[in-house]
Amino acid sequence: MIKGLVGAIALSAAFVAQAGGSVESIIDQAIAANKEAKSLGYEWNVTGKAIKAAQAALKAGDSAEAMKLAAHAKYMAEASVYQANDEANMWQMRVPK
Amino acid sequence: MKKITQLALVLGVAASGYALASPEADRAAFENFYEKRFPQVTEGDFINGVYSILPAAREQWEAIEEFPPYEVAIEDGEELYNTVFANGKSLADCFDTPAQRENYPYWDADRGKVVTMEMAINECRVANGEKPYKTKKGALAAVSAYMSYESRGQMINVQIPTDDAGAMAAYNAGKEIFYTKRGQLNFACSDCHMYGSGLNARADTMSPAFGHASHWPVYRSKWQAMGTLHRRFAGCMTNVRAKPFKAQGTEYANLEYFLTYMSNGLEFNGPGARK
Repeated sequence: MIKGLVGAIALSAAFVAQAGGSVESIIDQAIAANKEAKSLGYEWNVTGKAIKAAQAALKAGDSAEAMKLAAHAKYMAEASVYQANDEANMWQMRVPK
Repeated sequence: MKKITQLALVLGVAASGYALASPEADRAAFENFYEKRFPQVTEGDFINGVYSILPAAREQWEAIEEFPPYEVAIEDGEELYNTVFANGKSLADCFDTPAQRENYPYWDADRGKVVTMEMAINECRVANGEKPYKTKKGALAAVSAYMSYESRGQMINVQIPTDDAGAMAAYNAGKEIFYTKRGQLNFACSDCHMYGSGLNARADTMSPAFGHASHWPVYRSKWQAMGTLHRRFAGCMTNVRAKPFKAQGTEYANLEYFLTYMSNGLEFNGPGARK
């Protein structure tokens, strides 16, 4: 169930990414979003590896795989930025009163 | 329109109240949360972490404590504490006694930062021309184990000077880290160690955060070694797939400041042994 959901998200992200530009451009967007997450203190430890995997696939000439990996990396980087912005307002709700 | 403005004002005050509660109000609510969740735990026993709520596991842990795996670290730490630096001084010259736990962490108003005991150990080394120890394990954990052992029985009594904006900012930053979800798994410290305390994550029961700061450093069976509190913070963040902060950096020092303050009134009982 969860695997299916993650797969669907990755596929939809890949579709959106493909519609949005080249592999290089998607990787650049992933790097930029990951930098932003890092500056906010919310970098995920899986995103950097995903970006490197996309770069490696691109270097190896497997553009379809590179696009899939780049889209996933971009999705994670942007999700971590979303998490940072969302949590800025949400964390107080968990403080017991 | 007037009613809408009044409602917005009330909601605004209520919302800001979450963030602006005084440290003492936070601490009282924190303690109350755990006392209500675990009414069977006797007063002061939260310093024993997950073993305060798991009687069967406690028996095994108490057997381990008869020949504690941190004993070697205490001996090593004592030796390092008294080892003479190249300039003829030693760690013993920086502290009037090794029993220092009750003095840390504290807000250093002059430097505008929270100082932990491990930070002070390394600052002593650097001030005397030595290289600082690595911050998660090894020599620093050993010295910390010795000093914690000498400090056993001291009461946790962290001071938050509420009239100092810097201290309050550090306290609130630590508090924010504790309650904020991070990483790909989207977990906050409080998700596991407050609202999930007593529940299982795979085969392990999640420990209550009340008392968490009392027993460091720890010999952890998973590590097969000693580790500092900041090593554990980093491990937790890695577990939820977040990039950890730097050990003895500002973020974890602030988190330690908050978390230790939450356990004010409990005893220091480090070093400890955990799974």
